[in-house]
Amino acid sequence: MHLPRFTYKKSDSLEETAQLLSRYDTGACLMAGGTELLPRMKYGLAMPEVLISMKRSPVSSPKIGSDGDLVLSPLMTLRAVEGSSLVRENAPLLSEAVGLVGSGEIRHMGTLGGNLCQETRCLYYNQSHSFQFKKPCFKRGGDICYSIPKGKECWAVFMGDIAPALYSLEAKVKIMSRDKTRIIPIEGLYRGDGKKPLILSPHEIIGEIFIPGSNGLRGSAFSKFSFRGGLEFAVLSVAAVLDMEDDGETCRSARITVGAVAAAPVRARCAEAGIEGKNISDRSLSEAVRQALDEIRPVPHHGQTSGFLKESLKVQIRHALSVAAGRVKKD
Amino acid sequence: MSELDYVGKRILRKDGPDKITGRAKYTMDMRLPGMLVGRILRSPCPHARILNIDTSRAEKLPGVKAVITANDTLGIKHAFVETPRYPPDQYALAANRVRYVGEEVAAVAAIDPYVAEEALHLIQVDYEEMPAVFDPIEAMRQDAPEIHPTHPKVKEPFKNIGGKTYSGWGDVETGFAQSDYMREDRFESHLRTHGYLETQVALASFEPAGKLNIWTSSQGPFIKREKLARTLGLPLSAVRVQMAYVGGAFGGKVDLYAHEFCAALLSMKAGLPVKIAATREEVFAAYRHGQPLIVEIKTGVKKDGTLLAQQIRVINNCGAYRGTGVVVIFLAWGFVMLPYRLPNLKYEGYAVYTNNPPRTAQRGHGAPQLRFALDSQLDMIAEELGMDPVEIRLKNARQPGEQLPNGDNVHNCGLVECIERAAEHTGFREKHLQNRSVGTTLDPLRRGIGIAVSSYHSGSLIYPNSSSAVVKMNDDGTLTLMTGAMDIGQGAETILSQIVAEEVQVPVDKIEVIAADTETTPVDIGSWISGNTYVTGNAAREAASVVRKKLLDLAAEELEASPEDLVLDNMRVYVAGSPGRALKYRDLFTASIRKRRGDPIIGEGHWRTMQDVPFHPSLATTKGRWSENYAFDAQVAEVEVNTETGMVRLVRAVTAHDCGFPINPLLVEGQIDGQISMALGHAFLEEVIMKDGRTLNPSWLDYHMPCIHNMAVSESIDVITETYDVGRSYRTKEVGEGLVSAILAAIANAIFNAIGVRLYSTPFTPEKILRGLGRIK
Ligand SMILES: Cc1cc2nc3c(=O)[nH]c(=O)nc-3n(C[C@@H](O)[C@@H](O)[C@H](O)COP(=O)(O)OP(=O)(O)OC[C@H]3O[C@@H](n4cnc5c(N)ncnc54)[C@H](O)[C@@H]3O)c2cc1C
Ligand code: SF4
Repeated sequence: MHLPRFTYKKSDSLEETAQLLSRYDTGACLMAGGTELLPRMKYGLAMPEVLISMKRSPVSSPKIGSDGDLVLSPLMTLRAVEGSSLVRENAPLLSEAVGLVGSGEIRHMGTLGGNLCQETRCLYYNQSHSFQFKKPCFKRGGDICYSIPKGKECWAVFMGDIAPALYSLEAKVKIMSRDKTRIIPIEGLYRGDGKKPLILSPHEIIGEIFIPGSNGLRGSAFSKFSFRGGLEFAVLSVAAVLDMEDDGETCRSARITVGAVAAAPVRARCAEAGIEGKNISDRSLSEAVRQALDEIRPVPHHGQTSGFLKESLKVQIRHALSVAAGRVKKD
Repeated sequence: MSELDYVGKRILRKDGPDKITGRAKYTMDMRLPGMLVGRILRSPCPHARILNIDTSRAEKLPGVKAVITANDTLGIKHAFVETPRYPPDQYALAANRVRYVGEEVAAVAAIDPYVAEEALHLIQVDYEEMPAVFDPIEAMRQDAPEIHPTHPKVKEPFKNIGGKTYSGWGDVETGFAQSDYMREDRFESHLRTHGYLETQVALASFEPAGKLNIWTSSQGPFIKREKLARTLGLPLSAVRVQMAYVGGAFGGKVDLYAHEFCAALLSMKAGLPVKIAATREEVFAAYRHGQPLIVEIKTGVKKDGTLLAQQIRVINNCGAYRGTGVVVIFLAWGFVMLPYRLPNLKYEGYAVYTNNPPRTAQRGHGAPQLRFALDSQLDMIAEELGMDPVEIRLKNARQPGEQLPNGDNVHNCGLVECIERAAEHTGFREKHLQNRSVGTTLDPLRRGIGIAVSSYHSGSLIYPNSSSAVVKMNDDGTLTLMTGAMDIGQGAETILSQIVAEEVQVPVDKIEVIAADTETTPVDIGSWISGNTYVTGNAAREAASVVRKKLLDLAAEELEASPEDLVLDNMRVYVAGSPGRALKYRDLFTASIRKRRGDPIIGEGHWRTMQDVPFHPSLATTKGRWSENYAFDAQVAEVEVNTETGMVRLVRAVTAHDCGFPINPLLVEGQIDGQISMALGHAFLEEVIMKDGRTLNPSWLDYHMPCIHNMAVSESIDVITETYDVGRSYRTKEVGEGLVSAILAAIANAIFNAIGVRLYSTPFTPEKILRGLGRIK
């Protein structure tokens, strides 16, 4: 399989990239590690005329901002995030999630920004269409869906591992273009539309990622369910954060985010509300799991049935919550 | 066994250094001056008439050097099996009709891949879609669309029957009547690919004088030459097929493929070399995988577990053309006949055409599917009878010297010992009882243990029926072995060198191997049907003994001794007891030229399995002899089942195998570990997911081949039943295919032992486990 032809530009800073993107208008695309973009280009799913590579651009190190936020560059490789002790101390959930992405090779090349900005996935979509599924589906500009033929929209699933963790950490992202900069909560980055998962316009990029510090007792856990346990996207993933009162037993606030069940990560808000103010116990956790199952309906994807995904969701949420709770005690 | 120097030793692979240093050149790496890139246009329809193909725009594209469609071919059909009953059923390029998504319709050769790709887009094909069918049971129904007419010899009112095997012995009705217990079960297996790392690739160069040179990643050049010559209308001698290193095959590279034919024809048309390499996606979505079988078994036994009768129906979803579909339904009968004694059998196998890509051989060629079904059911019977799984197997296992219903003999079969030693080594009986009693603990992890057996033939009669080899001495006393055999990573060249080394006493690293070239090396059975070590090995041994004899005769003369008193040792000959007065081989070489009318000491040898049987057995009735050499094994699996997630882990696999004797224990262990890892993928992870003839996961990312961290501990026990003696033919057995089979049923049986859930289909997914446990409704 060969890459389509394109013009290659090198950029040394996010600012320069923003400039270039607006100069080339919709024909250009930013490439960070390229681990997600290049396979899509080989499949003919992305055909930028200009590729703006940031591979050699300098990357600022993680730091704690004046307001106590952990500030990360989107250009950090996943390996760098994984290896950063500052990240491990301030956002262990992120370290854990990053360590489960793809494989060592992918983490060496892939970046935080690229991970957040990856496309939704679908077996009918992530292949070239030279002789299979030639007729375009919704996501490729057509008007059918192969996966859920009765559906009127695209059901492709967002499968990135890092976004769910950032949801549960209540992270924010800086979005920049040549003329404008704004900071939005991570949840605002995703539209919830399989066909076009991100709110970013072609001129916009992620400039920075902010993770608020926790002020108090916290336990967190990331649970990724996959068959092969490596070199594989999640069948589903759960990122759980339990912030506790000083007694170490009462939950002050909880965030449970589920990945790979829809076009964007999904917060289990009823389940979260259900535990808040309660003692963490077998019963309250089981109740939370029950509530989460009521509010989240996994989209069947990658050959898995919804029955199986629901059962797995139950097991994984329960697992993530128990581990998170166990970690509070350890602190 | 006499003292051996090379055979039986843990000698490192000859191809090892090249491969681990990256120096090995595969067909994929080959380039020739002026070489063009070929690409293939494939059908997007599962079943359609081709109304018109317009290539004019593609031909006009600058950089395009040749475009071919069926119109450029002689219209000669080919197939893996070509017999009067099963005439060839496939064109190298589709003519008038396509029968599966991915079928080859046209091909182009261009100066680079971009132009080639663009040219494909410019070819306009008008299709008229026809109704298609993908499920074999539906395809057999009278109202199903017809893919090919049902074979005229099939009497039942079924449609789309590409082939049928009908066999049996004794009288099953009597057997069932005498049975104390009977049961009927249905098992299904799924579609897997081989996973060879080098995708399919061929480089063809047609010389103006009329010679076609082709390098292709295959399992043996002779079958390719035969089919290429015939479909291209060239004399056999005008086609030369050669090899480079092969990046894996596992059964997937035996048949003639369209890319080989197209590379050749494009080169003939363009007058330049043409290379066609399949993408991984093409391999997944358009090439041939293994064969998913439906196996229905009715079995009757006595109270004590003795098998009395089996009625078996195998339905093979063989895809749009026969491929090896009719071979599998024949072999399936053999996998029933082999490991257990069975007085009465009624067997029916159907190869059913569907609008899926055709299928081919895959390591074990039906044995894993059959053994999964048969050994699962045997455990279910044992459970009903309150018998131990080991006992019921020992009760029915074939004994040495038993004659098989088809006239073959199992000779020195070591099956009983395999079962006993595997069970003993793993503490099977105690664990099996203990696991069952765990029942109600809260721990979600449960342990289980299971056992199963299998048997595989080592070389059978099929074209080309024989192997021969030439061993020639070089001036310096080293040797060159010329063999048609192909090292596809299994170590053929190392094994053959060890045998030659032992016979002539020349160290393995002083033996150069020239292999698998239809022009310069003698014919060989090829690296499939598991005959390499036995058939080619004996041919090489014979060739080497001729050299040995010539050396001894000459040395006897020179040393004035009798040949019996001479010792060959590390390229020297001396009289026993006087190593000080030795003659070097290089001096004997010179002496031979001088004294033997210029004879440079060349030996030729040949071998054929079942030398006295003229024909291969009937695919239709199984009549006739099949093999004279069967390997046996018992495998034990220990698993850990997570009852919450449904995930199963193979913790330990123990293989007790009767391979005769290991010529190279290191390579035997490598084959065992490789087969365990392949079976592990088969059992848990790998599945080519298809919907309506199209492949949903055509990539390594979405097709889950196991990673190194998924591997299980694999242990092996050699059950030695043969010896190797210099100067005598041997009957050592295969280790390359049979050991991928029993472990599947062993895993299924271990899962049952752990959680009481019986699985009737592969793969053993978490969803099936959770459904079995009642967690998913
Ligand atoms: C074999 C394999 C396995 C994988 N497994 C996993 C997995 O388990 N979990 C997982 O989460 N991912 C997985 N991935 C996806 C992997 O590509 C991402 O994890 C990786 O982080 C992407 O980063 P990148 O820098 O390579 O992205 P790129 O390919 O460079 O970019 C991806 C997209 O993001 C855009 N982009 C990049 N940076 C920015 C930015 N700063 N602002 C705006 N847009 C930007 C690009 O324009 C492009 O559209 C896998 C990929 C492969 C090939
Ligand atoms: S889910 Fe989306 S990507 Fe998948 S087939 Fe449907 S429309 Fe296409």
